[in-house]
Amino acid sequence: MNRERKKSISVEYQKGYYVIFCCVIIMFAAATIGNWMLSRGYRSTLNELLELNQLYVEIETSNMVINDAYLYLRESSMESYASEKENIRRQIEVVNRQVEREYSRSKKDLTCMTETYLEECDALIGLLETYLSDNPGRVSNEEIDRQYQAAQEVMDYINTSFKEIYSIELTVSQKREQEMVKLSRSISFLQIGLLLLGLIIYLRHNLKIIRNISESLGQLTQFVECVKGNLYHTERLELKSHDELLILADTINELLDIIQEQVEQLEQDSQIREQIREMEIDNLRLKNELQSSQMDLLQSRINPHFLFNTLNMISNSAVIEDAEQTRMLIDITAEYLRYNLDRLTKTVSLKEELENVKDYIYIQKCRFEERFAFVFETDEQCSGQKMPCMILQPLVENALKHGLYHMRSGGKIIIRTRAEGSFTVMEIEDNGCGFPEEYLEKIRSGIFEHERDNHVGIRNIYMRLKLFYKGQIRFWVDSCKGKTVLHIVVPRQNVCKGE
Amino acid sequence: MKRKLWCWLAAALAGLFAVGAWVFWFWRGQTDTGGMERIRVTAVLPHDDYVYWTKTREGIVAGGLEYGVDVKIVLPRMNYDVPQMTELIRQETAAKADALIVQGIEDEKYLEALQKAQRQGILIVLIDTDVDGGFPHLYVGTDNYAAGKKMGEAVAEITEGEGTIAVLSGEKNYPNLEERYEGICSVLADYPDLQVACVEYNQYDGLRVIEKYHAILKAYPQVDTLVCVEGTSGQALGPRLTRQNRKYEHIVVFDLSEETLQGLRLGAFEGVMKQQQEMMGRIAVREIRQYIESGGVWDRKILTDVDWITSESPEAEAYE
Repeated sequence: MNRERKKSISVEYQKGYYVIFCCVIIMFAAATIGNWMLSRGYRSTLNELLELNQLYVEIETSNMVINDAYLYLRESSMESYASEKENIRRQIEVVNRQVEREYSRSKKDLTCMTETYLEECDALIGLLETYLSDNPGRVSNEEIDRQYQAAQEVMDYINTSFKEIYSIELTVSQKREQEMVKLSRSISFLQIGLLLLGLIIYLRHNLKIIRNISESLGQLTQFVECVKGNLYHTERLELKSHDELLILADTINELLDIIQEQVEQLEQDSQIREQIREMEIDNLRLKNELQSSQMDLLQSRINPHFLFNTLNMISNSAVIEDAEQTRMLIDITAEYLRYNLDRLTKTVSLKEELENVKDYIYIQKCRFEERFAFVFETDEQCSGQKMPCMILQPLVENALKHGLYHMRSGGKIIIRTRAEGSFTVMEIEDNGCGFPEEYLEKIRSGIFEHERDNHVGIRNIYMRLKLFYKGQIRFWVDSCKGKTVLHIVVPRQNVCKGE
Repeated sequence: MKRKLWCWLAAALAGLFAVGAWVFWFWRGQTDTGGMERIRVTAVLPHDDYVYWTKTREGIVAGGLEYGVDVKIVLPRMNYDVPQMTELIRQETAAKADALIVQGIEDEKYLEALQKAQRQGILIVLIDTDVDGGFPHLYVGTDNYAAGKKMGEAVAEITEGEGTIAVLSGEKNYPNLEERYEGICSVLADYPDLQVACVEYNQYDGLRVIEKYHAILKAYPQVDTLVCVEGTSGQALGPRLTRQNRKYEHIVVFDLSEETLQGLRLGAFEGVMKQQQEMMGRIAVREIRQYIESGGVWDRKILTDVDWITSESPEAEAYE
């Protein structure tokens, strides 16, 4: 039942925070990169323009020096040209680096033009220096003028080129600025999009978690309600979630199992106690009855020897008086009494029990003459069946006393014994008035065992048989007007022990 | 649990990578690659408002893209402003371009500027028209004599060798036109019944073309075939003539353009001689790159062929 907890509610919530955190990180990265790109773009554009402007300033300065040198033949100007030239060259390198980073035809043309200008200026300065040297005739004025014109022509091209480049650069800058604005807007959209995406994922995730928790709690509540009404609820709580609620559900299931086991144990204990109580009551009752029977027996044994001697003396007198029937009656009565007195607490065989019944019948026949008929349908196989004493005779007596007593003639009692499989069946049948309906009902419903009424004899027999055969008997009565059958079924193979 | 955490981390990294890739793509999109060692070619063209030079310019630009050469096209403010074109050549010479593509024009200062450029190590390509400027150069242009011969053969076929021809040319003594005319004459020599009544010049002016169109018929009523050996005539006549309203029995023109195609579709012209200007531009750039990289003979001519286009040709069919 214990299943592994794969998730935790807090961890599930944390995942949502992770999403938001990731989105914020990406947004931050996008903003940082975007800002860096924008500032780099602006700085680069401005720097390029400034560097170009610096080159132009250097050329202009240099040209002023050239003009000064040409117009006024100042040697100082010629000397300063060298440093100006160096400045220009440095600035050319700067612009060339721009071209290396990002190729531009116009810038490349400009640097080349500047180099051409320097070449022309070098040539002019060379001519001027020659002119100012010791041998000025080597250089003509026309030649110097032509060279100056050539330098100025290149200067014009440079001016034109600068104008074009400025125009182009400004156009490019404008375009770049537009692109940067576009970039800035794109970054903003990206950030908003990311934030929205993160929020949507976060909310959806949280909603799912809350829904799962709510669903699980609902199931838990419903289950607890069911269990509260019925402790024997067989179903167990099954949650789809894999978080702490699953552990709670499993714990509830385990608790329910324990409670149900304990309740079952309590019930079993209660049943056992009830059975013990009943058995104790039965024992007490039997003990009581036994004590009662023994008392009766003791009372009947006040002086059995005296009774048998007397009966023997009467029998001898009957022989002397030639009263054979009387002698017979006295002998049988004596035998009947002896059986009752000697065997009452002993185990007897069915044959002995039947012999006792026959003695009893002989006595009754003497009493009632031919008013009742007695029929024996016995099975020899059952002769050895061990059983308590005085079982059949009281039943026959009962049938005679209650069933046939009011009949003047035609009364009949059939005593049957037979073997059926592993059981011995004994039946006492009479054609008398039958048992009252309410009494039959008591016998059938089992209340018979606990009742104390006029049929103490039958109940006593039933209880003795039950005790003897340890409950393994069947005892029932079929009765209607004109036919009453009392059935006793006992185990045939049972080994009987004497008391 | 760990697996899921890794998934989240992977997703976050993928997001960062996507942002980075996007930024890189965006940044890269607005910058050109750097580099100093590019071949710089400047084409100084006479103008760009006539299809011939437009096509030539397109060929040069396409050649620049194809062969990785930086091409700059410069134009004078006025068409055929030779002094300004000369000035542009000087400017490009000061800018130390690797090569100049120019039209050969018989002008002293123009040629001097080219000579100076060549002396400074700049390669000179004369396109369309060749001149002897006294400097080594590459000529790329139509084989005008062959074009004239092809045109003459077409005229002979159209007229079935009989009739009177008027030739409308651009400018007198212009070498290309003269060569074309010579080519035509070489063919006509074989057709005694096919005579040239006159050769007129329009100075590359559309208005003058219309004027000459009418003037020729007035002066030579027997002329039944008009042969235009340059492009302006076809351009001026194409949108105005149909087969029904034309005054000549046969008209053939030079250079394919929107206007001459329209003339073909409407039946105003029997045929158009198409030059391969775009091809010339490409070849010029290709040869510059090849020479700078591998050397070889520079001072030479590359002649391109011409095509005879009629109303049944694919070019005319494609025209809407």
